[in-house]
Amino acid sequence: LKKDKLTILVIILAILLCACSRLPGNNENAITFYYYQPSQSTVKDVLGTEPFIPKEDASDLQSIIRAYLKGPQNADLQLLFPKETTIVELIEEGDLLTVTLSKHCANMSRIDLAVSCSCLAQTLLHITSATQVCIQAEGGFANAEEPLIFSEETILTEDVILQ
Amino acid sequence: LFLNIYSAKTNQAIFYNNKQTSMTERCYLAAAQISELQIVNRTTVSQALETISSSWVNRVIVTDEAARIIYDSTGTPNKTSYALLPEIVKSLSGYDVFSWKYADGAMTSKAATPIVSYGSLIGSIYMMEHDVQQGSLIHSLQVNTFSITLVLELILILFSLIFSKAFTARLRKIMDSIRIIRKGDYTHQLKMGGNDELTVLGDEFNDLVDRLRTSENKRRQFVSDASHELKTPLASIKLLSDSILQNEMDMATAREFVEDIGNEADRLNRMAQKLLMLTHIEAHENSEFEIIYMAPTIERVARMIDVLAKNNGITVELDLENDSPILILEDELYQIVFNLAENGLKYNTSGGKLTICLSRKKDTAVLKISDTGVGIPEDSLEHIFERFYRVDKARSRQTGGSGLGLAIVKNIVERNGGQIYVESALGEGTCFTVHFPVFDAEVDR
Repeated sequence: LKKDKLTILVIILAILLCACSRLPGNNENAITFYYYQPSQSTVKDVLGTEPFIPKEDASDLQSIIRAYLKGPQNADLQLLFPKETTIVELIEEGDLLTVTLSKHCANMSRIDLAVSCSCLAQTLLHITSATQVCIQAEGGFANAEEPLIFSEETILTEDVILQ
Repeated sequence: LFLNIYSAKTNQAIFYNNKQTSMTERCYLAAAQISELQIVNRTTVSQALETISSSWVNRVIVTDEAARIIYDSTGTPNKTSYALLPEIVKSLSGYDVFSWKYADGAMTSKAATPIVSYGSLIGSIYMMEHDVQQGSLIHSLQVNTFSITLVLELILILFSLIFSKAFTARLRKIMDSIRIIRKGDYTHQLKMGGNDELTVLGDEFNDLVDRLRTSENKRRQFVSDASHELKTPLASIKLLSDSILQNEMDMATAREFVEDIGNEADRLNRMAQKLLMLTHIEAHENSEFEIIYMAPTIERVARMIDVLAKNNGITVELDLENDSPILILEDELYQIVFNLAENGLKYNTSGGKLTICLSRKKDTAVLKISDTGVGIPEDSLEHIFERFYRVDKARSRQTGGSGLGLAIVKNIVERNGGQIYVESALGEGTCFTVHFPVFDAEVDR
């Protein structure tokens, strides 16, 4: 009798857990924002993530990028673009998504530019069907000769050991 | 356990330091080679790195200052690939980086250093080594440490169990013996064996039981003797009183019988007093002393026994010239001298002599009381200081002796740090010699 009661309890718990996984907090519309994750050690990855749930009236890509440029909620993460940076233009051409940012980010150092653009590109590659993301600044980047183009293959975030 | 952990940690630290030094130095060397290049591209970097043996390194990445990969030893990089590895990003901030990880039986070491040319940061070089050999070495070290610790722990636990069991068994032996003794079997002897503290405890226990047995035997003997001694005068009193009641007798005979009853009652009284005294002497530690010369006390005793001596036709001689101060209560000294002198009179013969003599041998004051009486048989000499022991019971009762006088004397002498000796020859007399330590006022104070 005790065994039966235990089995019933386990089944009820399993049903409840399944139900919990479908609560509004675990919204299927949640997207992942990538930001720079500074760290004193090398234990953490350079790119950190935090979830973001777009509002229904601001779920278009431009709104999402605007929300992204406001910076992370998580204090451990960091947005390297200057605070004033805004999105100027967004063009989707087949697999290529071109994002033009305001000139505020034009004078960033090369490594900061690489890291921050990689974060934005990773975010966009995950929420759109584009396979390449081109990021440029209004009037061009002072420290980069050409527009920065990113794809899943061009961002190496971990050294996978080849056995 | 702590030693093993310390040893393992120390070994790991040595591995870590060696690896850090060797990998960082390789990075420095490679960075120096690259910084001297006029044109930095995949071909030139590849040629520069050829001179440095990198067979032991699994991966080398060289980036520009924007973390774009210029050279990757694992293949041709995409034209615009970014190496956003933590080590590279950190080294592009100007730091030397080394990280170390042991997982899945392999040791993975990563090092990165900035490449500086003419004072400007031009990129970063990153090296990664996935060392299974050293990993297996660390793994075997950990396994061995764990195994040794485990074996040692097991041995320790086993030893503790055996030791505690043996210890408990021996303790139980002592407990059992205590229970046996408590039940009254004083013949029991504890056999501990071994050669440790418990053995010593066992020996002490046996010694204690021996003393207890002796004490118990003495107590039984005393009760038996005292009962017997008290029974005799009581029986006499009963007999005499029955005779008065049952027989018709004249007044003079009845008076004689009543006088005898009185004498027996006096004897009982004396015996009871002496028993009380003996008990008192044995039960109390001597805590009071006085420094006295013996001569005045002896003279007092002599005056006391003078009548008895004259009645028995015995001459009392005193030789008290060599007197010495001793530490004793005067009442106790009086008791010693009186008892010995009284014995000298009781067991003397008419016309005999009692001599009390004082002398000194170095630091010992000697009191000698000798008589010219009947003497004591040799086989009785060793018993005369026992309670209720009488050489001639008939004579002793006749003289009113209780058999306790000499026992009291011996007790008092010994508790005052003295010793008593007896010499006797049948028909010639007996000599009691008492030694006391002389109290030297200047030294002893």
